[in-house]
Amino acid sequence: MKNLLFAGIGLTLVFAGGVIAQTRSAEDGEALQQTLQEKAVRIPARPTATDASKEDQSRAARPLPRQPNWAEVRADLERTAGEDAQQQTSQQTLSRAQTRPVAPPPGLRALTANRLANVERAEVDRVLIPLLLPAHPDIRDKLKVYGMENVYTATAAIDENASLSITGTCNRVIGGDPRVVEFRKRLAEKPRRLSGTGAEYHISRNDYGVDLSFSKFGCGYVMNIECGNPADDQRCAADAYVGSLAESMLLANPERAGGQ
Amino acid sequence: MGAIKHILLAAAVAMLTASCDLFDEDDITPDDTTPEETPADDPDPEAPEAEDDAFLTDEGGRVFSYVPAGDLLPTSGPGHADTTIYRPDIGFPLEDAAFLNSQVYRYGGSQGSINGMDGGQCHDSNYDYPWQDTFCESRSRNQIMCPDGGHEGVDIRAASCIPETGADHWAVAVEDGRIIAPSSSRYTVRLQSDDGTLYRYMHLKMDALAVSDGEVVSKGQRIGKVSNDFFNSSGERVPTTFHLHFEMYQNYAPDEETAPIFDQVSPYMTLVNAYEKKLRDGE
Repeated sequence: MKNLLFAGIGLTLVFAGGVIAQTRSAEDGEALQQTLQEKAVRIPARPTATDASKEDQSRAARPLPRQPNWAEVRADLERTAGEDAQQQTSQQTLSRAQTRPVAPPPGLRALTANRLANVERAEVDRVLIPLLLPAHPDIRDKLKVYGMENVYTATAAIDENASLSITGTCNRVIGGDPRVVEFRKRLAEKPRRLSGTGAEYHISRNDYGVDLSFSKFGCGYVMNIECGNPADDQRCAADAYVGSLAESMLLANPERAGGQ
Repeated sequence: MGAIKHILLAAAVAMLTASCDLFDEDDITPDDTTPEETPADDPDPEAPEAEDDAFLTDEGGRVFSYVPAGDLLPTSGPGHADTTIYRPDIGFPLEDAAFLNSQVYRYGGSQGSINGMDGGQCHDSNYDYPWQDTFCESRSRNQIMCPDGGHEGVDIRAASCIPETGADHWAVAVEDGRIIAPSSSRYTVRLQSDDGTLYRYMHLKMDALAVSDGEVVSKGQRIGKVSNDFFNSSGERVPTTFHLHFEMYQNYAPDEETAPIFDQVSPYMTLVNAYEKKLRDGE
């Protein structure tokens, strides 16, 4: 117990010392501001056109319009349809008692927009890329879609403390600062993969919650959970919730894939 | 002895908690709105120096300058050196002059004292050039581009300190697009462009937005006023300075072969480029 006490005192002193050591005077602040001004870049009022053009080209990222891989979409739908048929047979054999699915099975399934309670058909019709939505029954009928040709966003209030959005596009931006290009290549070497859809994914946290970014069918998607208290709400503080939503997706415009 | 032990342990815990809070978003000092923390410099009655004529200036005649990308204030994190201009043709997100700098590690921020910058958010130097990057400024949360924890956007002060001036400063659409579900967030407005870029405007005055849900907007159209709206799930106000927190999501890939990641990229040099155009061409 005595050791614990001394450890407490030591910790307190270390932190107190750290705070004191880190505090700077007003003169230090003014000197820092002066340093910032000295190293700041100013822009010539009349740059030569060639210089500006060269510099911009070396730093500019390049837009890369891309079409989705609809053949992959069809293959995924066929695979899950086969799994569902097999599962249904097994269920009938085992029991006929269960009438209501508890959670959606993993993978991608087709569901036409008119079966989604809060989705306007015209918004879906505008979208030319695979329009993926989380399949969870508590969310899918709250989703509202904002469709444009090459991008869409769907949003839903999960409850009064959390909301969800998912945005997708197949257009890409590539290149830019060589340091960033290298960093991104290293990131891509060790992707995690969602077991349900097979998509590569990454998770980020931010001011308001958590983002799960995944790539599928040649397109990029980002699903965001926004929480009122992101540090305390496990839907934002942990990976499990957003990960589980991304495991089971619906394709809201299966007619674009053909044959559905 | 038991009481002393509890006091010391409580003090240690308090110190630990305070150190964790170093990384909270846009935390501000209690006296953040105090305008007289540091007296304003005497106005310079002389005309700008001849040297200044050679450089780009704003409408107030001040020379625009910026600290290079990724060069953050001391002790405020490693930053993220990214000179990429992701969107060369976008406009600037504020109508008037603006100042990018830290809301946490400068005057008015909770950690300003570690840089000798004690004072209120209205300190003159917060509303002056040079700009400074705040992408990947220290935060407790991990972001893809800031794996050790970082701020996932940049913070922009308006042309004047609103608690002092009471002025309205408008945030505008940086490009044509669509407003996404402003009612689904307590303090965020999203703008989606047709080629797949997503922007987040945070801390606007949410009860007086100039746009509606799903509205199609044009580049330069007013969205809302810069404010300090920031709420938790109970609807209680979370302290922050008056500023626009601006984020840009891109479906980015390093090359044509690598799978993209749709996430936040550093908007810093994109905004430098947009501001230069604004000053030069009035865009």
